[in-house]
Amino acid sequence: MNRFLPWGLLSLFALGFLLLFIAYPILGVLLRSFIGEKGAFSTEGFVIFLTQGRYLEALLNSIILGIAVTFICTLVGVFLAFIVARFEIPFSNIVFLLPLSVLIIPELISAQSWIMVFGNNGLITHLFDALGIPFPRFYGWFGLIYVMTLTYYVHIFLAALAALRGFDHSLEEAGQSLGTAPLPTYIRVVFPTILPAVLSSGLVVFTLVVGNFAISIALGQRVPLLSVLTYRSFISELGGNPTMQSTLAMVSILLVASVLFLQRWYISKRDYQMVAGRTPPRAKLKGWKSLLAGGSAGLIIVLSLLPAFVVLAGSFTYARGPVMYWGQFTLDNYTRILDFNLGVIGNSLRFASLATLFGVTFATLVSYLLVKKRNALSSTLDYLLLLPLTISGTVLGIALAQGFNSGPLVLTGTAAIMVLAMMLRRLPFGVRNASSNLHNISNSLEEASVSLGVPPGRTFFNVVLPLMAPGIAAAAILTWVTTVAELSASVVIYQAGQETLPIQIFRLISSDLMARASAFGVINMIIILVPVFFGIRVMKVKLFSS
Amino acid sequence: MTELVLGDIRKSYHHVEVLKGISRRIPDGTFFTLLGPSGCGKTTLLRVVAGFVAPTAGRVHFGAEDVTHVAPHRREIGMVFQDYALFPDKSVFENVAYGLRARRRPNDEIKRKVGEYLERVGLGGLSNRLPTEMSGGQRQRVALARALVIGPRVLLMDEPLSNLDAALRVQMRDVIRSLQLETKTTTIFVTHDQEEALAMSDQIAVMKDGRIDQCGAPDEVYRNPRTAYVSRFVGSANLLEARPMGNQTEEVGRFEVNGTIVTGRTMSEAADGRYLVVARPENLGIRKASGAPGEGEVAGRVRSLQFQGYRTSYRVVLCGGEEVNVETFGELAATPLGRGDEVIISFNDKCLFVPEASS
Amino acid sequence: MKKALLNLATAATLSLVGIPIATAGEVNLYTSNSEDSVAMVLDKVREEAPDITINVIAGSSGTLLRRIEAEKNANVADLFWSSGFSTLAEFADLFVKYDSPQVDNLLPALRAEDDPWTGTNTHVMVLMINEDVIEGDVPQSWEDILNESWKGKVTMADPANSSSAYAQLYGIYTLYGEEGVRKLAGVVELQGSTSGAYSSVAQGEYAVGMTMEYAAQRYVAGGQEEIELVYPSDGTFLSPEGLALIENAPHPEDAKRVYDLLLSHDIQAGLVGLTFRRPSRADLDDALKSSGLPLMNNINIVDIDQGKAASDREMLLNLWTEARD
Ligand SMILES: Nc1ncnc2c1ncn2[C@@H]1O[C@H](COP(=O)(O)OP(=O)(O)OP(=O)(O)O)[C@@H](O)[C@H]1O
Ligand SMILES: [Mg+2]
Repeated sequence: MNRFLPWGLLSLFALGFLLLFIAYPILGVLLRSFIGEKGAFSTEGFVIFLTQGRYLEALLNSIILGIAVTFICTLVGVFLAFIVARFEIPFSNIVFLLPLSVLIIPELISAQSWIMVFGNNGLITHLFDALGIPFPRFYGWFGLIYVMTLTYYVHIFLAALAALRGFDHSLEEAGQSLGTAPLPTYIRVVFPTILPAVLSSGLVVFTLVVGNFAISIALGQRVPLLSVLTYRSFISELGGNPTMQSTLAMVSILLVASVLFLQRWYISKRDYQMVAGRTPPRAKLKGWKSLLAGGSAGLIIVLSLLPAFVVLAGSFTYARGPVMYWGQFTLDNYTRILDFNLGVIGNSLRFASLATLFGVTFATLVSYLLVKKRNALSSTLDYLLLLPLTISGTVLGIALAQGFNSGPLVLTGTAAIMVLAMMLRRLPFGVRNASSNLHNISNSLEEASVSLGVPPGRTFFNVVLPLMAPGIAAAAILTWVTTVAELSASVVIYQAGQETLPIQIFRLISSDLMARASAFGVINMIIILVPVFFGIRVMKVKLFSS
Repeated sequence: MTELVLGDIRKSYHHVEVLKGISRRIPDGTFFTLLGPSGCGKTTLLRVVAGFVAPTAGRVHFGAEDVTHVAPHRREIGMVFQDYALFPDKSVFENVAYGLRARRRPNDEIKRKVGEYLERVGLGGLSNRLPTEMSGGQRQRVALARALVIGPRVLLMDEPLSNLDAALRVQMRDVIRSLQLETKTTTIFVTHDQEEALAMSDQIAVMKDGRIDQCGAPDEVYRNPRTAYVSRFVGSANLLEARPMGNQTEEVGRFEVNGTIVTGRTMSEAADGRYLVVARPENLGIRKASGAPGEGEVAGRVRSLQFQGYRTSYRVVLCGGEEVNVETFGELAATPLGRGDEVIISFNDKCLFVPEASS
Repeated sequence: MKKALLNLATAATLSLVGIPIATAGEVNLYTSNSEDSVAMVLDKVREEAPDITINVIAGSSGTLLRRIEAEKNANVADLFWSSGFSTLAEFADLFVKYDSPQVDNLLPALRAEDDPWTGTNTHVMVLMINEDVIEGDVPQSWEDILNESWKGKVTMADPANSSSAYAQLYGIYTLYGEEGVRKLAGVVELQGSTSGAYSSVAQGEYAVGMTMEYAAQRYVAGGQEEIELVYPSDGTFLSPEGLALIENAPHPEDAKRVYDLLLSHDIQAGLVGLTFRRPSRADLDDALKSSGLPLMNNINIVDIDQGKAASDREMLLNLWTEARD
């Protein structure tokens, strides 16, 4: 064992890092939720939560929203996957852009763009106004469900498509040969087998909805939601109540954790192995059926990609204050950024690149330790890495801000805490990406190198790292994409002078200054797009393999 | 050029001892084979020598140097793995050059040596290929060149041939053995294929449950297996119950086997007095039954036979109900007996007696 | 120990955020004002005091004040511009009093002569009306909207979260007492944030919003014709905002010159045209007219004691919570 001391030390370091920056802040939230105003143990926070109507209402709303969006996402996602897997439709090539659209168009920007379409001064709203038809109000349940569905259905679509592709066609034929018509066969034979994949991605969507901050706060003015309430409790202009902040954070941790638990339990109960078989041939549709299938699939795709174009158009649209003059074009929104806000772009680039650098380095190290150098600490590391999944960005932000605003390590207000918050959120996924090819790298490769005289540390760099490279590149790109778009944690902890693009967009949206927000949105998308494009085109990174 | 000394090597995993005290002196330049069934500890022992596994107790010496606590990358070993372990992103040339580069040899020396060793393993023209573009046999040759080019003190091979098909395996035996002879590298070779072990080795160590049961030159181990286990594992043997008759001397024993008296050497004493006779098929005589069997003879009936011209093998059911394999060669083989024939099987003094219980 | 670490943390912040450490002839301005306002000020300062370079740190006032507090031991900020008087009061010990010669030109209510800050502008609470959705008569006073018949049609921000909404609530309390607060609670619908109140009216979700003059005026000036501002006839409330000199500022003398400039006629006139925030100077009638805002004389104003408003906060918010249940 002593021969591999460096790995033991590194495990210890990784463990220490996760304990300090994940376990300790979250534990702090837990403890503070039981500490009353006078500093003694009290359940006051939970009593208030359970007795003051608006908290319970918010919890209930969050759950209802989660269920509604998950349900509709499932319908849309499975439907689209079914069409794409079964039929030849005109734009089947664009379909493969869909998963990318989720990356390229951050939640905040899709919320923003839909506000520009349906919201105050919205394009469609104006159109309806001109026709004298009152348009239903977008802020509230309708807007929330609509935008979240369009943002999250892709998760279910991808899972369902993969399951449908892997489905053994001969099973289906067997069903048909017994005398059932194709559609009932499908429903009876195929759907039950893709159900595990769909359900488990559905639970992911549920947790995303419940933890969602950007869309909730942009569109949920009238609907109290847990994530927004948690944020407000912390950011209140007039100083908040720490017990209540912690209690709210605790409730949302419990909610997400129980869903994750449900998901694991569900998966463990099933044989998740899909029979890899012949991919069913895609059928050609004729006449109205073709129109209907192609049309509805096309509509979903167009709606998914539309936000990018709306924001692009908005960024060139002339506006006086909050009022947009659609059709009158200007470069003002951009020149303003060049004149005043280069710092914001700089912040985004700096924080995101540091978070990506540290996050990916850490993820690479940890995945190597977990896959190749397991020791007594490994299972603890495994569990600690699950923790970031249970907390939403807002809660993570609060946990970090509360955990490091006093005591021996004061980080509140530093850039370090921004970078930390951004990198921690993505860590579990980063580890998953980075370890994707690690399982296929035989241990004997490293031993071969060591036997040839190269010490274990250098062997890692010479032999393992080059082979991990594709996974690391995917981790880097995905980390970059999410950190550049990160809002919910950073908006809780940023200080003046540390505004990032999403924070700036968020502030402009709050002041109803959509045209200017759009210009920032376009820049944000460009910053996201460049490495994605570079990675996929030039380095041939497979982003969605794992 | 290194003599390898293993001194009472022990290894436990979670309180289960998988190496139970292995001591052996392996002379310089020896091709030493570890032969044994799956799970007996061959790989573990090899990795102790390589340094990847730290022994719970015992010492490893390379010549005069005690390497027990030397890190593997400082031991100057060459290793060849079952799955080749070629670096998939590096060309054949770079794979072979890897160890030399780690030793910071000058470029022209690297070029010369890599070229030389690739020639030796018969891969002269392929230095720019990637491992994925080569066949299994070619890959294992690259691995061999890579391990030998650094001039290791000890060459360690863990079932290097088991991923190859039968014909290639035979061909690669020659490649490995002749290179080993040329470079005179002390070599430990792990296999569970007795034919491989017999064909290639200077010495074979037959392992069982974390111990070396017997060690010796291939012919020695074949001719004089010390235990029933070794006799069964090296070559094939008929093992029949043998009851000792009177006093056993070291050299000659008298035993009753299947109702007849057989004499032969007793290899070691059985604590409980229960013995088996080891009779190699070629050491049993077979003839058509005529009259009652004499001393050292048992009656039986041919159950099946395979005629192969130079050799004929029989399966014979003895009168006591046991079955034995018998082989005849040359003249005798050319005129085989028929199925169902009543025969007389005769034991001769090449038969050995070993304890029934394993040590 | 703790202090040393704090210093270290601050130093780390500074180096990570990368503010140039200011030297003579520089002023570090921490401001929550919009970029175009700041740009206008920078232009003006370049004209009037070309020897001064201004480094701008922009952000929302809460984050800026918290940052100044964190930097207390190694001050970077010279000036803070601007936030509501009540917010400034909470951070009063960060500031140091400066008697600007310009103070004499200000409206008396905005001079803040006893406080370590000076008024730069004031919010005026108004009723923002969306004529497209309003049914019946346009309300003309606070009293009008306290009527049952407006239930569900009037909105405001949550006084617990928004300081301007609290100013409105406190104003109602001053005018109509506990009774008025209860009536308001029965009528109004709350928005989570300050901006919710005006954007939801602009969007037509509500007929009437209780909000700030400047916020509503932006829509009018932007050309959204259905939006109208009503200055309640029973008197409205001011929510003044001010700027302050930071205690132990690194460049106090230059900062004072910028302080004076921020209160100067030209800059204040320019700012009101840009932001519709009512300036603190008394001599800007022309500028007000051209921005479409009524003159101060034409608005009925109720005097609010800002100090009392702050001290009554907890009591009033409890009353409010109880009234809404
Ligand atoms: N890392 C380990 N932890 C626990 N037990 C181990 C470990 N490595 C090996 N063993 C056990 O030690 C015993 C010997 O294993 P070893 O790999 O040396 O066998 P082997 O002779 O090489 O077998 P094979 O022919 O299958 O390769 C086995 O029972 C194995 O289960
Ligand atoms: Mg083995």
